[in-house]
Amino acid sequence: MQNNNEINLQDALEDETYFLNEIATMTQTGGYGCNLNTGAITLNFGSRHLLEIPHDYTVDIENVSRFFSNKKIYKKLIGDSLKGLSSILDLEMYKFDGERLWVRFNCHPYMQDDEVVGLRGVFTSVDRYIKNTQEVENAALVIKAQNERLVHFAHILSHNLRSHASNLQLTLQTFDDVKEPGEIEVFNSYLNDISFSLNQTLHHLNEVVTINTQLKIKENIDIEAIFNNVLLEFDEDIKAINATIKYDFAELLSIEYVPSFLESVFRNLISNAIKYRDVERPLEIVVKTKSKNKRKLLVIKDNGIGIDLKRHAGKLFHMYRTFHTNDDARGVGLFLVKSKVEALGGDISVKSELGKGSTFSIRFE
Amino acid sequence: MSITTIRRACIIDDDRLYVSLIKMLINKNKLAQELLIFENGKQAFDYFESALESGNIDVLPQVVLLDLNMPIMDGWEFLEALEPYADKLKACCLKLNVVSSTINPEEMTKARNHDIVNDFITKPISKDAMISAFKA
Repeated sequence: MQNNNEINLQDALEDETYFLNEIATMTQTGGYGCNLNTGAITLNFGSRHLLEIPHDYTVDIENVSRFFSNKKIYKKLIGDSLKGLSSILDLEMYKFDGERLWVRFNCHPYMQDDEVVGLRGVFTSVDRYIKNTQEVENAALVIKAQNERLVHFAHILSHNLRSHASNLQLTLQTFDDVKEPGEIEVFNSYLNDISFSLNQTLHHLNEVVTINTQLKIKENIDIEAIFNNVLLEFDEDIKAINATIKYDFAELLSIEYVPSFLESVFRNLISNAIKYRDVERPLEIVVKTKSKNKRKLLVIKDNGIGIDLKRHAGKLFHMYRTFHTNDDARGVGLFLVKSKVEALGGDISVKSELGKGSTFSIRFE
Repeated sequence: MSITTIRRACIIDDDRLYVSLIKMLINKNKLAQELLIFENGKQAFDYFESALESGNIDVLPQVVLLDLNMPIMDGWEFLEALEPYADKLKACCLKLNVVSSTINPEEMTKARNHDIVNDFITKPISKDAMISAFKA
């Protein structure tokens, strides 16, 4: 008895099948074999478990391709094996229900009399690692874009402040020996202009800086109500130029968003549409929300002069020097809109044709 | 520093206050008899192109003060557009100076090394820098 127990224990401790099963479970690995003479495919428990294949479903050479997401890779795998070559690679499979799964997959030909008569191998899930890598890569892209914007922002900041400082210095230099009352008046008006522009610049910069520092409190907001509020600000302009504004928010009536950000989006895009309208035809602005799958969109379309995207696409949403005495805030508005939309995890894109109009699409997160 | 009066100077800049100040400085110090002013690269390029194409190089300025950051066509795009005429411009002794408040060292080097560019001047441009920019 003692002896028998001892033997049983030793057998259990050395049981290869036990080890294989444990390895398969721990590493999420499955094995397969394919008889090329009959076309039959054998899947072990691990394979069926990994791909969630029901016990009563028969896999054979005819239907096995459904489990491979990339048919080219599948064909190459089979082709290479028939030539007697072994393969090992990462590939994406479909589970029985169609869900995707990244695996490390190998395939070895089985030879009899110099002929390939069977294929066999194992595959092990690497889904977690591939997905982690993809997430890290995506995060790196976001960080890179943010970093580029910060560098750009620092340049613009220094550029704008230097412009005003330099104008101030130049003014003092030019008027250093002024005594005539007429000239003093000009001198004062220049100082006034500089001070006004400097204030405006600081105001814009403050707005940019606070986008990413202030608490962004999202509320469930009624898009139409916000839109109509902003529209009131443009009431006089709209009447004066006889513009038509149509809107339809039926697909998406409300959204979790920072109210002041959505106001700013509407305000800037409407103001741009008015500023860059085509004088040849009455302005028409169409505003719509769309909700497709999980995507929530706001689309603002005008029939204005349009934008030459071949030339300006790269810097359209960049802030470039516009905060000087010309009092034309072009460029600042779109930069602010983009920064606000992105701060909440969304993005903005534009389509445009010269002479036809522009369409801005905002994707909410 | 002795002051030379040239025939025609040209300012390409969209900052109106800066332009009026430079205008005053040029007039006060009698640096140029005539002044061409363009608000952006496009306006300036159209003028240059028509003068060069028609062979009417007499209307070209001797000294140009070019800003970099402008709407419609910026300083870099203007320089690029002028590239085909580089030899002609050098032959008629045009001195093109980039005047910008950029402190980006890359941009400064790029401007200084540019074929058509005579010099890079940082804003604010001082009276002395102005005078030397106008010297033959």
